[in-house]
Amino acid sequence: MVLALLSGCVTAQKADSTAISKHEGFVADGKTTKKEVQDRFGPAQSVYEQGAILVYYVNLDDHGRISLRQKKNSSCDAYVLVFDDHDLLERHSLVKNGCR
Amino acid sequence: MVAANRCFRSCLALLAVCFFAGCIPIPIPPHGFGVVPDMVAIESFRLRDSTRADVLLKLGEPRHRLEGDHFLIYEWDVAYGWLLSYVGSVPITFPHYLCLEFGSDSRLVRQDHLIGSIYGKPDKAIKKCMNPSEVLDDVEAK
Repeated sequence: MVLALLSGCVTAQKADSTAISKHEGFVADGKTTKKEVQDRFGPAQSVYEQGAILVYYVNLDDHGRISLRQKKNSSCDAYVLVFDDHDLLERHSLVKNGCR
Repeated sequence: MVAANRCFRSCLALLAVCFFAGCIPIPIPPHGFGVVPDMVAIESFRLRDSTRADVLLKLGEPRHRLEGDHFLIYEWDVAYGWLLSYVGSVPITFPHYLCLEFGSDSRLVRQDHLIGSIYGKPDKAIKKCMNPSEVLDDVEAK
């Protein structure tokens, strides 16, 4: 009963990048361009700093695979992509439960 | 200390309401309820050093974006107990807010942890975040 009363919390937390990197396909820091990302993923759910930061809503499964979020009622993870002045991917991360 | 007083006052009021409504409050150790931001990541942010990108990369999307992302606010609930009644149970929660202010260079200039009133709405926390010197009854800094 105590455990049941204490439950109900998940943390929005950066996922281990080594666990997901082999499933990220074309997404690589210093190589991928913003255009490639937008061509493959479509428009981002959120845009910051005049497009320098894009956030996509995705689902990360137990095997480290990432897919664009399809259903609104499913859990939601945030794929955060930061681009440099030349629209080249500078840094990125996947934040578990990181949607708004 | 301020938060503890606030909780104590609210809990007393809640007990009185419960007495008349026929429900039983069960106190529990305070813990996050729903989606809670990563506290280790929050502690890693440094004023005038961490950027908006650093924050988004570690915490994901904020609940509120204000004034052209000059302010970002993350919001979560902390449960202090449960109310049990013959129709079911509900958690006793207080909203918590992480208020982050960024400068024109996108670097973090202020980081405040605010606590709202029981089952409170974010309006006053947003106001307090954007005007930290303002004194508001329903919102206190941790």
